[in-house]
Amino acid sequence: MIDFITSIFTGTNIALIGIALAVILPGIGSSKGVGMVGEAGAGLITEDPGSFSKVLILQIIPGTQGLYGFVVGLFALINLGVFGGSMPSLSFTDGMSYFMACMPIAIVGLGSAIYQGRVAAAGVSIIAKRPGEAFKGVMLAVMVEFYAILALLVSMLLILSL
Amino acid sequence: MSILAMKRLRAIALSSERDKLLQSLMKLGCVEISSPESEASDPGYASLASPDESRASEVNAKLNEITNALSAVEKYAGSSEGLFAPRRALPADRFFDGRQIEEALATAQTVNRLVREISSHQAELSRLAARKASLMPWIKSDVPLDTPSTHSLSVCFCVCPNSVPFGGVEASAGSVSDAFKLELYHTDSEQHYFLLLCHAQDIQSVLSQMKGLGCSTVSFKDFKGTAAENIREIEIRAGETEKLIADANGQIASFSNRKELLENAIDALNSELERENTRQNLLRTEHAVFFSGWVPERDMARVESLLRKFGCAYEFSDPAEGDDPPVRLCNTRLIYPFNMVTEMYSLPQYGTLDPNPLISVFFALFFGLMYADIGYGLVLLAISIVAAKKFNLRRGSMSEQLFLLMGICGVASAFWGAMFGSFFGDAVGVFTESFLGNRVDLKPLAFNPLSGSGPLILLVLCLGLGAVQIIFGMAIKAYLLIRDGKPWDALMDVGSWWLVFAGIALLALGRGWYVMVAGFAAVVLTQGRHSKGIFGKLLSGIGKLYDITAYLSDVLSYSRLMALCMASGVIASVFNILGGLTGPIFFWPIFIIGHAFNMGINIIGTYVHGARLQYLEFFGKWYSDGGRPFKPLQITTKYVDVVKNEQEEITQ
Repeated sequence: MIDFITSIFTGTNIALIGIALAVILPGIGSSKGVGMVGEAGAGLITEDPGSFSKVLILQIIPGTQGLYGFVVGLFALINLGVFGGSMPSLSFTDGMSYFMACMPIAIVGLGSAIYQGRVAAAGVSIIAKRPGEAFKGVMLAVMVEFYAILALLVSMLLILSL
Repeated sequence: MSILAMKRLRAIALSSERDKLLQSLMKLGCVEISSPESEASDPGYASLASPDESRASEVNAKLNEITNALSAVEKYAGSSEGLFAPRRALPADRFFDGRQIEEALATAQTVNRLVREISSHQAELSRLAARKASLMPWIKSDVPLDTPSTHSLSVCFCVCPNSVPFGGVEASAGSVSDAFKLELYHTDSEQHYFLLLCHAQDIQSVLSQMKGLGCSTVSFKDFKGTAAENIREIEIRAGETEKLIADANGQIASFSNRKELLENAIDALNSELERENTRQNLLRTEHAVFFSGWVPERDMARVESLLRKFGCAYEFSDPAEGDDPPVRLCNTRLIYPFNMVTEMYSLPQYGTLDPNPLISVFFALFFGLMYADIGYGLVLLAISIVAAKKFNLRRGSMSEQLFLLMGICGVASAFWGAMFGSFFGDAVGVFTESFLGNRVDLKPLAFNPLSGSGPLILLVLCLGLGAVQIIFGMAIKAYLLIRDGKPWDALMDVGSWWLVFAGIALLALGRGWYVMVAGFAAVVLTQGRHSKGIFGKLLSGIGKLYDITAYLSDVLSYSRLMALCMASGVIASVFNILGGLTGPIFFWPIFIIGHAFNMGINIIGTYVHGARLQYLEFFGKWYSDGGRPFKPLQITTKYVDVVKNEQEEITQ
């Protein structure tokens, strides 16, 4: 039994779980955020097809967290040497380091994408009622992005230092 | 480089000259006419204010007519121009020519009549389509639809739900009569369509029997001849109607050469509407009108010569206490695009400082630092140059500010890109390593923020720049206090904190703590001076020490410069790596799409965070906001540029 557990929780596997979460969680968050803005925007576009480009800008804003997660995941894989052709074997501690390095963007990416999606979806009503002020809705949504950027940076700095 | 000084204008003109005067003022474009509220508090004046909106609504109706016609022409002629379509030049006398508007109105009425015709034809078409659909199931019938029942033979067209097999219908009819015949024409997903011929004696019992199965009769009152004949007829009529629609479409499209006329008229009517709305603000008696407003001091002479020409009685005066003069900022071409940043926050109050020159260097510097990339910077610069060349951007318009700002920020980004050795991220290094076999990196002029101790150096650089801006903001506050005759306040509010900062710097350099303590003492002793009593002063002075955390968090806020700079760099290098992994052919599409995406995503964030640092950290130190924008009576157009003729203005 112990052998089985230790064979699963190898350092490499733990690192890979972290990397997977870094891609999965922000991806889920971004899908949700982008989806919410899309739903709100579709309603507006049926009324006013000309507002499409403005809605599109709002919609892609919560999409960046998914990209950040992907960036961290990719860098971690490159750093692990996966692209060298062979899967490296890591000690438990090293694997844990990779796991922890992935956590900032995994967790903050999930939450901030959803919250950002909510702000951006509310911004759609700015486009509907005051098309001239649409950029202010974009600004409000972008403020949420900042915390995802901070998480991305810390994750990246950790991975590059491993 | 300043907030323009304003003069209050009060003038009385002849009623007969009113419309011409307003038109000339509009051409001049530098007089804001205020609403008469301030004067109307005097009951003598109030009786003279008599808003009359009938003409405004008349102009509005014309405007609607022409706008609808224009959109119809654009729809049917299938041509519409982009957001930044260049505007054509139009001499002022043609712009204000009433006959042009009448001609446009006549055209618009024709177009709108055609549009109404098209819609009635379309209603006819859908009515015909519905009729045809109701006849289609009977098309196989060779019995005319209007065949009358005779003395002994009843003729009925029937339908029956197809949940009952047709044999069942026949059987149920057969159970009450022998003298009948059913002929099935069609069965669709819902019903059977059939003809019932029956002896007149049996018809009631057969029908009531079949009713039990859900059958009913169909009457074709308005039809003559067989279903097939009717359908043919309907098709011919539909064809004719379609041809009428196509004709009308063609006629509307043929008006596309009059689009310019319509557009000119829309602009002219919009300016007329503006004049009408202004006219509401005039106080009038039988022979004279009175108005008051604001004129920038530098335009006084021009306004004066115009008023004199119209024989007005007028006076200019300086803004009095309690007045609310409007704010117009005047800057050189290199600085005025930053107006966009200022206006998004709020204009400065009249009589304070114009923030644009003060934020320009910092904003450009910070934007460049966050966007730092030679390639990205050059792309921004190129977009800005192309836009300036291609679109005939209106002086002072939002789009002109945007593109100018883009150019300036592009240069700043390229500068920092060179400092950090970044050209589309690490594209040079990745490309040479992947495809030429030997990695050659672009050498940074300063340091590479993504490797070694780069992030730390970058952080220190950003916080340093932040400290510089904050201290600059405090210096402006000191300047304002001194200008307003309060040098002691400047010394105590700003000087004591600078002593603290200097002390902290010296302590960090290991040069002792005396200065810092002196600074804190100065803060405690001076910052409570507005409170009452010696203890109150001391306590609130000690409380003010807490402000040190505000300054600290202000400085730390500039770490966002580092975060955004590195994030865009990291994402750029991811696209390069992805491209490098996929080989020399797929490298380019990934490179182009990836970097375009990264630029687009980051430019918004960079702008917002750059602006935020100005709004919160910098403006917070000294700015007094809430200025009212100067809105002169002027020609605002969408399609044409009205070419003014200075000569004509004077002589007219």
